[in-house]
Amino acid sequence: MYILESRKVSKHFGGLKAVDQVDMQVEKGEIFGIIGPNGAGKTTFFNLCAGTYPVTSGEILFNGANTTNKPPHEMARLGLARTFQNIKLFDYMTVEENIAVGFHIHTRTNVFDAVLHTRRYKNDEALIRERTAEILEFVGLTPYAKVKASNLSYGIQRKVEIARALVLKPSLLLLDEPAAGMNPSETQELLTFVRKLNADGYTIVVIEHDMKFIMNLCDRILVLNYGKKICEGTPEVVKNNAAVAEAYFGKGLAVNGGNADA
Amino acid sequence: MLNRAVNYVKAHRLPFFIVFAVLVLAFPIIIPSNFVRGIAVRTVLYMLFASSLNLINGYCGHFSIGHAGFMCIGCYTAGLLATKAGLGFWLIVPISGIVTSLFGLLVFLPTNRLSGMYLSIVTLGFAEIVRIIVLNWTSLTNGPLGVKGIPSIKLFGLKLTSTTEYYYVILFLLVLSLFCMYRILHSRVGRAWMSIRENPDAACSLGVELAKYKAINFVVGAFFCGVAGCFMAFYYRYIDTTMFTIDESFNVLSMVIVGGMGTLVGPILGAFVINLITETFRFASEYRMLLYGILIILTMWIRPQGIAGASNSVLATKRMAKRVQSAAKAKRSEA
Repeated sequence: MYILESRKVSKHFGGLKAVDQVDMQVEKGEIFGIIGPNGAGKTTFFNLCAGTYPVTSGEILFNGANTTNKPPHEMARLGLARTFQNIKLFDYMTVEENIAVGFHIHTRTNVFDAVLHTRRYKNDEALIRERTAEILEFVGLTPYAKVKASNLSYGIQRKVEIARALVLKPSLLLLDEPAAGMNPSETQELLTFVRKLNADGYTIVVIEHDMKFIMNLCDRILVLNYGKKICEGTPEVVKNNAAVAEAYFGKGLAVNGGNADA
Repeated sequence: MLNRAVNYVKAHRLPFFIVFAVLVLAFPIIIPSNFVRGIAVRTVLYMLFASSLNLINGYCGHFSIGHAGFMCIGCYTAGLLATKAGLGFWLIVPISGIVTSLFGLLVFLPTNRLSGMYLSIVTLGFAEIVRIIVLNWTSLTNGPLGVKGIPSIKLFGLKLTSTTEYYYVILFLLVLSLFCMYRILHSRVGRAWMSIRENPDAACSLGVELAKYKAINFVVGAFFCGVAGCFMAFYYRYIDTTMFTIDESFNVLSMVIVGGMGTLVGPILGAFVINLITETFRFASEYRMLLYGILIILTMWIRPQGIAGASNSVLATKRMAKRVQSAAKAKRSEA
């Protein structure tokens, strides 16, 4: 059984086939990469998996259950957490509060509990305090606990977003371009961090443009171009695939060996 | 200058709080004029109205411009229950709150897919519809003649008659409501609201049920409005629909905006400032509206987050100043 599987998933925006008949199987415990040129439909495909958009056709299975067109908040409850390409933090809330929102699905306080400070409220808040400290410690954000999210640097914001996703205790983590806008040393740090997460048992699907990052990190890679799957396999397979090279570099402008054909 | 003053108050919270509390509590005793006391009661009443609107507008990303609709429902529920069913004030307070919150749900349910400006227009329409129905449902509401002869509030069998007593009743309701609001906002529910305000996509990806929590937000906000509406009916003794026109919605809205959305103190300050201005400039009658407009524009211009607005904006300006300074320094060292 795969942890995440898509069967002939398509998404059309009017006449544009943003995602076209994509099959994908992600196995438990692996780091799975999705790459492709700009506009290849990577993020759209991600959004279909996370339930943000409804699919045009096809099926998505999560942990063996059909989750096609389930809204994102239900996917979160089923154990799928994600980050966004353009970081989406709660800007005017502190790091601590950002993390606390992540406990939404693990706590049950309602309006009356909150007003009367019932035992449920106290238990929930105690859980949140304890686990928030743990999570912040784990990702190394303890010094930033009381800082407003909008006042943090880009790299730290990324980390907060990932930490917030981890709070869900997800069985699958979707990272959308986590290294975008990072300098090489930050990227290296992120690489180590994602490997650590994987070693802790998280299955991870990651979209990225940084080839070095993705080739170093992933067990298997799916390549999309114009919404279609053009290649899938280990980094080695992908590196040596002609279709992938063509998607990235084009064809017909062979410099050395290709001249013989011309 | 202002920041320094704010910081000073923040550093010496307790003494300031005690002085403030004593002033507020002793106010009707110190002030001999019944007229001024009346203004004080109205101001505190509007603080509660503004706080209830702030719960909706400041915390969940809604922008309701039809608060008069909820005020009208709360007020009429109380007025009718008191005159027709003969119930007492303390029993009607929660009933009127619950009825109003049911209407809150009623507005929200068909519109939960709307957001931003579209929802605002719906709330505006709702307020007008409520007012017109109340005006024309003569058999129940007495139509344009209004509801007359609402009895006074009774406390332990004693009739409250003086303005001073009413002042303490509404002050009690305000403090109790603020206490509840504070607790709700500092819980899972409040955090869910704020996460929706800040970023609905992210909130949803973390498992926050958007529609449900937006609905709860409307319901809770309407509840406190109903509570305030109930007091309004008992205080004025007479209510009619002219009290709940669009002007009234914008009146309360301006208090929230001027004071600062998304803070508990904001609407309190806003209601104070606006009421102060309207009462001081009573001689200018209709030109007061002009003053309102200028005040709102000024707020938007000078302090868009409102008088008590979020401190991060203050920090932002400080940071900006620092950046300018360091840039200037760099230039100087180059030269």
